[in-house]
Amino acid sequence: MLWLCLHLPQLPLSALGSQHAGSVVVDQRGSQRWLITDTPDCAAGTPLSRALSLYPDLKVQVRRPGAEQEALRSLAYWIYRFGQPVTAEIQDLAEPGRRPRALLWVEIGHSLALFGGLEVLRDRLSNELQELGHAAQIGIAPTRAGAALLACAGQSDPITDPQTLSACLANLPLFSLHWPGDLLHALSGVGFRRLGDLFAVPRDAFSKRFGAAYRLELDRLLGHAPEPCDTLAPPETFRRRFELSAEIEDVERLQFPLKRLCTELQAYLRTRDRGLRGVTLAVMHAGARETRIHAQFVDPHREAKRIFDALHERLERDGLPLPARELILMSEDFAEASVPQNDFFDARAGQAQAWSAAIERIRGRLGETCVWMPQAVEDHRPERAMRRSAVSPAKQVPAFTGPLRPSLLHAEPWTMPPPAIPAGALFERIESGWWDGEDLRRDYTILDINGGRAWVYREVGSDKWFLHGWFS
Amino acid sequence: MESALPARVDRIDPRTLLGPKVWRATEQAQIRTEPTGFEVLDRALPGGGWPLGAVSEVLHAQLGVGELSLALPLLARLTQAGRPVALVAPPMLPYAPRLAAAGIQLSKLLVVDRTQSDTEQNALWSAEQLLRAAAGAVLLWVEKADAHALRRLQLAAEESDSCVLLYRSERYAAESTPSALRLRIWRQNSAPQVEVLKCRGARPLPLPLRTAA
Repeated sequence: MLWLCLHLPQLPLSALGSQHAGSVVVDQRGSQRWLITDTPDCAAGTPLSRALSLYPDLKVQVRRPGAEQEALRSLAYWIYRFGQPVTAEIQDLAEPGRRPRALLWVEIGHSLALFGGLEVLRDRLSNELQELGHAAQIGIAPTRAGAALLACAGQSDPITDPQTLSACLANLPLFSLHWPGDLLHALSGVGFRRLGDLFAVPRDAFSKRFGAAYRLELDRLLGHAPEPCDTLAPPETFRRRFELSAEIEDVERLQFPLKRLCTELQAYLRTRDRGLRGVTLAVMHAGARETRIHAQFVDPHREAKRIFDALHERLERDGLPLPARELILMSEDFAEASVPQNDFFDARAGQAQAWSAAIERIRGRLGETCVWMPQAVEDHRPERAMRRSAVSPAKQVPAFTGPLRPSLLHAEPWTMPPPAIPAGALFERIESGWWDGEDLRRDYTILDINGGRAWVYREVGSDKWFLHGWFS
Repeated sequence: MESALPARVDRIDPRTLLGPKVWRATEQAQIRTEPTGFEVLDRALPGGGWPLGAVSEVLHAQLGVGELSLALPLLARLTQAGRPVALVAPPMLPYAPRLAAAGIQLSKLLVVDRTQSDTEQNALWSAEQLLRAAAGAVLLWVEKADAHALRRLQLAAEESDSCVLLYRSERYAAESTPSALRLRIWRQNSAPQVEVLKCRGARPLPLPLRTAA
């Protein structure tokens, strides 16, 4: 086994969707409040009162564990494409001055060959993580606990064999362990400084004095004891909730969280090797009311930008009836993607994608039914010989081979006064549709009206004349 | 002394001083085009067809004078080659049986309806989006368009590799526009007549042309 562990120190902040540089998240226990994320000036663990007295314009936000869990789970679905099993945990001691540890593991021993080596995999993972808007420290070790400890200690050099691991861990300071403060101080009082000192203590004596559970943790670090874990796998359908930190009325201010959700959906689609056909965004308001926005795509794809553009255009067009409290992005409409998982720089495929994306943008602004593709249908009735198709028709009906038809048609024939018919005018009788009740009997002819060629008809047996189209 | 100077300047090719974009009136300008499919018209147009990366205006006296038929061979050739084309804000329904009979691959043809409000802006915006998405050709029906909007469309066309055909009424014939080509089409004695009002790269031929539309 080779585990890659991500430690996400800023997860409490990024889970809230905050984009201000001076934002900070605080945790609370009793009357004590302390920072659990870093700012450029203030380290995590600083009591809030002291931080505020030094930097009064800090933007303080209260920690929301539910949002952290959601964000971590979403990242777990993303990292699934780098290997499996995947597991995640937020280790929280709830002690004043200690920050929670958001940890995400993936077993990469089996997928190294696929990705072309450890370095390549790690670089790709870091790049994609950055794209998702998260920062992480990476640790790689043969044990889960070992990888986590290396990640938290900021030792990013990969360790692949148990001997090097125990040597490396032995050098870590005692306080890098995520153990209760009292215990760490007791150990430090005895004279232990580094993990190596703990490893050297006879196991029975250690268990008796400090508890068997902690001895077991040391064993797990070194790989002497099994490490059970709950594994995570991406579900069949995508659903991601995002609670906003405040009510938002302005569509423009929803851009940032929406972009993030779309990027996560893209990561999900990549992981599951699926293309997206339709997506729904539910904007939740006060009193359990919601606004639903649906976007259907011309062809299956997995591009965050296209998802975002489609939803954003619709939001801009329709606006929000009430302030938004929460966003839920969901989809269960997937298909095989028309593109390979990684682009092959195929110009044709890229152009087809750009064309579909343009159609979706125009639909987003002008309305769903405004953009269509004409489709010929085999029917003698002129109105029924064509259909508006929302997606590209799969097959083309053989071209109409009868008399010449006009190129522009009035959707509804216009009534007109009886025209003067030149001598020798030819009529084409169209008589059809008796079987479905929409029957018509018309005599069509071509007339010159003010220099334009018009297609006009008379209903058989009456003197009602209609203008139906132009030979443009 | 003074008469020697022009002679010497004349011997220098202006291109060596000013670069390859200099065009001499005595020679045909290099214009990339797509054939219109009508031989008479191709011969009359500089470069032999609809200019690529530019707006061509088709000014028609009224509906039904063969103005759309003028573009059908172009659409047929482009769609058969797999390139997407679009009709933006046509005044009526483009009739599929006629288009298919002209050889157009309907799966490559897109229609954008005209909207109730802001018709012109929406049409121009849509056309711009489609040009950026590598459309083969965009046919656009816009009546009232100010010089600024037309200039914008011309710029979008220049950045693309497409033919843009702008359909307007012939009452705008006297207006000056940035289009590279302006044609006027009408019918006389039950035959379409085409006149080249303006074309970039050559002097327009004075005579009206008859096309077999």
